[in-house]
Amino acid sequence: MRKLLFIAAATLFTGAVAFGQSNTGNTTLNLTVAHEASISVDSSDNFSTTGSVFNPYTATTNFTYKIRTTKATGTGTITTEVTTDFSPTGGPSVTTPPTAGDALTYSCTVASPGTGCSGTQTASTSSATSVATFGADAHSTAAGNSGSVAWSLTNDPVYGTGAYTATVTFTISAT
Amino acid sequence: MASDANCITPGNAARQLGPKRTESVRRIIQSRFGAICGIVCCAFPWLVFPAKSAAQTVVTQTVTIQVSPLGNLSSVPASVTLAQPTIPFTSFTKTITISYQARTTPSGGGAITMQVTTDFSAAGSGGPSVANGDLTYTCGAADLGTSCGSSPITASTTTQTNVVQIPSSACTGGGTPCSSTNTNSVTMNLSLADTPALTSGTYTAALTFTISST
Repeated sequence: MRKLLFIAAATLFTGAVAFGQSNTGNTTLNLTVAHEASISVDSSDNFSTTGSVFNPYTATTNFTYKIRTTKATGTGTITTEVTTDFSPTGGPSVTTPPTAGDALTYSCTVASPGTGCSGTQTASTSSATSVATFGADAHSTAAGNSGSVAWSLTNDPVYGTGAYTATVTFTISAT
Repeated sequence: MASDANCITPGNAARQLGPKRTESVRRIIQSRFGAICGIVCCAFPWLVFPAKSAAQTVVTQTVTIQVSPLGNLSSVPASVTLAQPTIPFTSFTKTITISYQARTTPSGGGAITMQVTTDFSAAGSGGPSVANGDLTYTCGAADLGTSCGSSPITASTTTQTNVVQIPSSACTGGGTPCSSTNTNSVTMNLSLADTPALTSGTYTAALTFTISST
């Protein structure tokens, strides 16, 4: 019996001859690249005035945008809106200027592929106003492209002295 | 058909062979090839327990079982879609699971590799391109072998890139010295950079996974 067991075991052991073996499997990887956009802006900008007395207050908001619009039919925009008017009261106001003609206005500088707003725009608390537009198949760089808005605020003698704060929201969209 | 009573277990051996032979069988069972001997004895009980007779005839028979190295991809997903990033211009991502079974020889080893056999689009065409290095992946832990790990590997259209390395004397299922699960798996985290430069549209690539074992 012991001999038989030995024979069987030994034969099994020497019978294990190695042969390489392999097989494969396949996966289809799908990807849809859609229109997309993002923007980052300065968190805070301060107005200042220089030169002659009662020259307008000025400030500059710099931003970086990334965008991809649809190949044939896409468009894109960057807009801005005053979402919180200046406070406290007694100073400048976008919604209710203390003097007719007081306004927060701006001009735009936008790197290609964007086209900056033309001329001087007047900011609003009730509607978004244009900063830049984009055409079909527009692509920024991977790091993003730059732009800026140069603000100008009437320096009205009627404003009470003090610090005033407003919130401006920039929105970028792509189709 | 052999009955369970003929299988070599310490209990059966003791009942059928007596203390002296039981000790011999026990040593074999506890040896490296004990499990194989158990299978042989169950399948061919006459080798171990010949019928009792007054004039016993001993016949030897050679039994050969060739246990070869094997590799089997139990499942790979047939089709997956890279998900749009929630944060614009980060990465399209997808986690997939590869299931496999493997057996390697004491002097061998194995591997699971991946190659992109059809690219999304040609390099420089505006779409994503594996040839351009756009597709990368990392791996979660493999429950048999060593996965590619957490450092991104760039997928290739020209070479097979590593997913799992399987060591020598590895085997799937049944517990020690093999893996505890009857199918092993590894997760892969696919990632494709979402850059503004990509042209909008729908793209498809083909991935081929290969498992090899020696």
